[in-house]
Amino acid sequence: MGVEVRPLGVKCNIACQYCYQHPQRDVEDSTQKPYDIEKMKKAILQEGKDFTLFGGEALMVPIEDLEKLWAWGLQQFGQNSIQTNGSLITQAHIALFKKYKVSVGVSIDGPKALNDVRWAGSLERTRKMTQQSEDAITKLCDEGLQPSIIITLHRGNVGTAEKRHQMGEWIKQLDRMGVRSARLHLMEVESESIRAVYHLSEQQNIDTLLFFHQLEDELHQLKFDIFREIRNLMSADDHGVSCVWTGCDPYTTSAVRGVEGNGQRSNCGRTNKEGIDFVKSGLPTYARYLALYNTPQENGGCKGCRFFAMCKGHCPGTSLVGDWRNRTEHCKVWKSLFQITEDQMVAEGKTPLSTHPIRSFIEAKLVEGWSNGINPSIKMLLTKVALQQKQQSHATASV
Amino acid sequence: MQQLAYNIPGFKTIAWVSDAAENVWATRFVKVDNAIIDTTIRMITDSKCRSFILIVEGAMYFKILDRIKELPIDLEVVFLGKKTETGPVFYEIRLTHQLSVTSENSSCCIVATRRARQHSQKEQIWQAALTTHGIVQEEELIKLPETSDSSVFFQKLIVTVGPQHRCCLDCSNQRKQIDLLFENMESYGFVEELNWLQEIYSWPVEWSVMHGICELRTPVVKLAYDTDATPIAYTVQLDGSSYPIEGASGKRFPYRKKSFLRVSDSKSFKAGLQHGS
Repeated sequence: MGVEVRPLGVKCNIACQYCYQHPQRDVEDSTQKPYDIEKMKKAILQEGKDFTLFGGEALMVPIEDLEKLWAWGLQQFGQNSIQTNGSLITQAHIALFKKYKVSVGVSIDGPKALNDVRWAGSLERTRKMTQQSEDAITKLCDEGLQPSIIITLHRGNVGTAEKRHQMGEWIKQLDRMGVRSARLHLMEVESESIRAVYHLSEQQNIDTLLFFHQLEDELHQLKFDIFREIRNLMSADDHGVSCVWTGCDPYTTSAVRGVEGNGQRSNCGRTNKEGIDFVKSGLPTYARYLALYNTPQENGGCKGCRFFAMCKGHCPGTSLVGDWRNRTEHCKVWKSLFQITEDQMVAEGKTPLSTHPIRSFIEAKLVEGWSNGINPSIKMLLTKVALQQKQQSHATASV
Repeated sequence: MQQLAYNIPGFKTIAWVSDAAENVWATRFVKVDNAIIDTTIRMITDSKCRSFILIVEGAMYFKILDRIKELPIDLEVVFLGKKTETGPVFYEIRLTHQLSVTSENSSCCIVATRRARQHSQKEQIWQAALTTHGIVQEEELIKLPETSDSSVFFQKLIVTVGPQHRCCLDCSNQRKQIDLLFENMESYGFVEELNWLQEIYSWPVEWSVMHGICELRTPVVKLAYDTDATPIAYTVQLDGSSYPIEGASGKRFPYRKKSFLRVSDSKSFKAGLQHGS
C-alpha cells in the first residue's frame, strides 16, 4: 500500500497519448489549483506511511517545495520516492535525491522514436524530452541512484519485430548501466482513437511479454516484476504482489492512497473513467470479486477459471468496456502467462495452485471473506490451514 | 431482463465528486431526511393524511419509533434485505393514524412491490421504466422523459416517499403522495429543505445494473449497491432540468460535459495521433 502525493494533480509537462489521466485533464478547469504543503503533510500523517511524489509530473513542483517535502519525509519516514517521466531532472534534483534518500522511478517507453507516444506537443519537442529522460537515467545510474523503470507496451515501441529488437537492446543497455527492476504495463485504453492507433492485439501482447520473459535470461540484474509475480501467485505466495492481483475495490483503491494538493484523498487514477477525481469512500467492498466469481466468462465474468484465485479479474481500471463490474479486457493475455507458468511448474515436478486440490478451498475462503467485507490473502489462508493441521497432529500425538 | 442465479450480499458504498460537494450536500441530505420524517408524522397527527409509506435507512427507523411512541400512530415495518446478511439496513415503514381504517397510498405501486417480493427481486426500476410513457429505448438503455418521477433512484441516499417499488416512473398516485409531502413541507416551514429536495429530484441521474451491482450516478455523488444479478448492463437515464453548483464536470452522463476536451480535442494531441498512426 502506498501514499501517492499529487501536489499539482494531473498537471504534466508532456501528454502521453494513452495516459489514463486524460479523462481528468479533459474536463478539469485550466486554472491551476494552488497546493498547500501543510494540508498535504497532515493528510500523509493520517495515512501513516511514507509517500511517493506523483503527478502528472511531480518535478513541475518548484525545487524549494520539493526540498521541503523531502526533508520532512526523510525525518518522518526515513525515505522518500518519486515517479517521474525524467525529462525535468536536473543536477540540483539529483543532489536532493541523494540528500533525502529519494528512490526514483522513471516512466519511459523506450529510447528515441520508440518513446514518441509520450508526446510533448510536437515531434521535435517529444524527441528532446525523450533525450532528456534518457540522459537523466544515465546520470542517475552514474550517481549510483539506480532508478526503476515503468514501460507501457504499445505499437509504438513493440508493434513490430524490429521495434521489439530495439527495445531488447535498450533493456540490455539499462541492465549494464545498473537498472535492477522494470515494470511492464499493458496499455490501458481510454478512447477508441487511442485503441485504433496504439493498442496491441492479444497475440501481440502475449508475444511481447514472452519476448521480455526470454530476454530476462540474458540480463545480469534487471528483472521484470510481472513474471516473478505470476510465478509467486502460482506458488500460492501473494504477499507483496502488485495491486492488480489483490482484489482492488475501485471506490477505495486500497493500494493507492492519493493525497491531492489541497489534502483531499483520492483514488488510483486508473479506475477514473468519468474524468472526476472522486473522494475516496470509507470501507472497501469486494462486490466486484463476488460478481466475477459467479458470472459466466461469456458475460464478462470469471466463473470456472482455474486462475481466478490468483488473478481475480485483474485491475478494475482495465475492465471490459471500461466498466469495473467486468473482468479485465486483457484476460487472454494473463491466462496465457498463467498457462505457460503452469506448464513450466508441472515440468519441474511442482503442483501449481491452479491444479492443486486445495484451490477450491482457497476460492471458497476468498468468497467467504469478500462476503464479510474482508480480503484475505492466499498465503494467510494457507498459513491458517497449516497451523490447524499442525495443532490437530499434535492433539492426535498427545492422545 | 435476463437474470443470473446468484445473490450479492447487501452493501453500499458512496463516492462524492469532491470534498466541497460532500460538505454541502451530505448535510443537506440529513436535513431533508429529518424534514421528510417530521412532515410525515405531523401530516398524520394533523389528519392531513391517514397513512404514509416511507423507505428509510438504519438509524432513521429507530428515530421514527422514538418520535411516534406517544402519538396516535401505528407503524408497520418491512425489513428490506436478509437479516442473516451484514450490510446496510433499510426499512419500508407505513405510518398510519390509529383512527384510520383505509389506506390512501398508491395501490398500484404496492401491487408492484408485492409482485417483486414474490419473485425475490431487489429492484424493479428497469421494469417500471419500461411501462413509463414517453421513454426512448435503445436495447438495454432506457431514456426517461424529463417529467418522470426520479424519487425511487434516491432510496439508498435519502428518505423516500412511497413503497419500495414503482408500477411505473410516472405513476399519478405516487406523484400525489410526493405533492402532498411537498405541500406540507412548505406549510410546516421546511422551505429550504423542500427546495433542496425538489432540486435533487430535478438532477440528471443514471441507474445502471450488471452482475448484481448497481451503480447510481448523480452530479454530486455516485454509489454502488447490491441488486439483482444480470449478465449484461441495463441502464436507465433521466435527463434532469437542473444541475447543482457543486456538481462535477465529467466525460459521460449524467455529468455536465465540456464542449471542448482540453487534451483529446487539442490540435497537438491530434498531431500526436497522426504521427503514431
